[in-house]
Amino acid sequence: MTPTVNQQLASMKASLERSVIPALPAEARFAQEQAGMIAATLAWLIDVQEFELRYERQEAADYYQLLADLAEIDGVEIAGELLSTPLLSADNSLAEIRKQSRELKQAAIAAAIKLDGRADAKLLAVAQRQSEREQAWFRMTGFTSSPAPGGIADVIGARA
Amino acid sequence: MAALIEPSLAAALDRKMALRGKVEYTPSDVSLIAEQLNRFLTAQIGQGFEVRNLNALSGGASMEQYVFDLYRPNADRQLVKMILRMSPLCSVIETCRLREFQIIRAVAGVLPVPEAFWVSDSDEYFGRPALICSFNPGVASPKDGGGKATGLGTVYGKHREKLAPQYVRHLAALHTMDWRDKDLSALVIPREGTSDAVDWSLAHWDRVWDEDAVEAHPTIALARAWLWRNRPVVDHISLVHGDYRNGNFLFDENTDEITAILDWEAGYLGDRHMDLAYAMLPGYGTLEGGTYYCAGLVEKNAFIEEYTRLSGLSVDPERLRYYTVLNMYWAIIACCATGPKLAADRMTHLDTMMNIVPGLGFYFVNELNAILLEEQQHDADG
Repeated sequence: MTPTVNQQLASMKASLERSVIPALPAEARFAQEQAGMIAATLAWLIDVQEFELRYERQEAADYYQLLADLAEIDGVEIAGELLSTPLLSADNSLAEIRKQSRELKQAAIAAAIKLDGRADAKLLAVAQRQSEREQAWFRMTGFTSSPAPGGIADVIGARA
Repeated sequence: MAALIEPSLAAALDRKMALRGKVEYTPSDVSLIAEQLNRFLTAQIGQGFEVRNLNALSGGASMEQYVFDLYRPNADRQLVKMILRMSPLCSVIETCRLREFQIIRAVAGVLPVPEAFWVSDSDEYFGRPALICSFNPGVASPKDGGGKATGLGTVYGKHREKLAPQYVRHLAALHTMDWRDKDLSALVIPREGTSDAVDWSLAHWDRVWDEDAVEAHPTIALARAWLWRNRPVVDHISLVHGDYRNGNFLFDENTDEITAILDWEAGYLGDRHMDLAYAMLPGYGTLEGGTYYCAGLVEKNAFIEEYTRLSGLSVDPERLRYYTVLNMYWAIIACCATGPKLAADRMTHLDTMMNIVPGLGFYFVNELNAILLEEQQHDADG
């Protein structure tokens, strides 16, 4: 398939930077600022967009595992269908995978917090894994920790 | 019983929720702003004025701002450059223009601040709350200082040496000023020796998260529980700025004098450690020559030492830690929940920026996870 999404994003960024931004009047500072952010966002999308589905699948897998771990703890009640429904595969749509990921996340976090500290360590471990993904996904926004996070391909690839 | 949310802040959140899903932001036409401004000014000062050079201002991550000259041939000051600060349809932090107006007036004479002239606390004149204050001279960052659109990460370079003592001195002056005889009727006064101010703050940010978050987040859930469990009492009620960092003050590049401390909309009555911890947050400071400068200005120990000397108030490391967590908590909520929600709902003039600010929020998530891990290890060690 051509042009690829990345090629289209790169072309839009080039047009914006070569033709649109230089043509903006010097006094239109707000418009210039917004155009600069759009160009930066296009660069960011080029960095990450191919990995959105894998990101959501990994997130779903982490919370599925957390939910399964919590279900082993005495007194925890987990809605049966969440654990009896298998994790969706890459053949499913991004929207379906995201929906499953959010449901698992909601249920797992709520169940962990109900345990009054007994599952905090497990929840924090998942939070740290999630944070690695978040840091990698948002690295192009410029708000980076030290050491600088790796690319999203590296973070997701390392867990695949 | 649920903790109180200060009524003026609750009203701002109610307004956001009432608008959600019903309206989208549309750019204001400058000629419409001019018309609204003339009508508002007529109600304040009558006839005999002229609005000149009205233009939109860039910069900032929340307010929609316009600069203009108010010409009054018969007034003592014939020409005054002013700023119209309007809440956008919705903002990454919902605040109240009347609170901002009252706080600026309360601190005038104690700190360098813009002159607050008038406030419209309803939608009557501008279709949303707005205030008018003076346009102060100065720059938010040096011409060669880098930094981002919000002023975060501003590097002050050769200006730092003279700016740093003023930055600390002004904060000490703010926290020790007597605010009790000022008109702060839009704020609720917490009781000293209680956790009132913390409870109200937590209740406020919990509500914002619950209303704006698209999905659950483990760090927010853990931090919320930790914050409620560990609430400290407030030993001395100070007027708190709420956003005291680099980028939120102006200075004269030639003299290095701070000419105005800006962005008072997050101000409230509470614990000084809130401002101190905020000014020391990682992410706002700069690492230069191996030294970390809080807010790009002052090394942490020197900050605490000088602040303590000037204010006569103690700085408690445990409370500093608590308010570090609280500051990160609200910053994550604003950046990761409210920002993208506003962009999704088309309720801001800063759509693209609202999708970028989660980058800062997730930076804080990473930092907050490290603190929560230390707390868990501390608890495990007994």
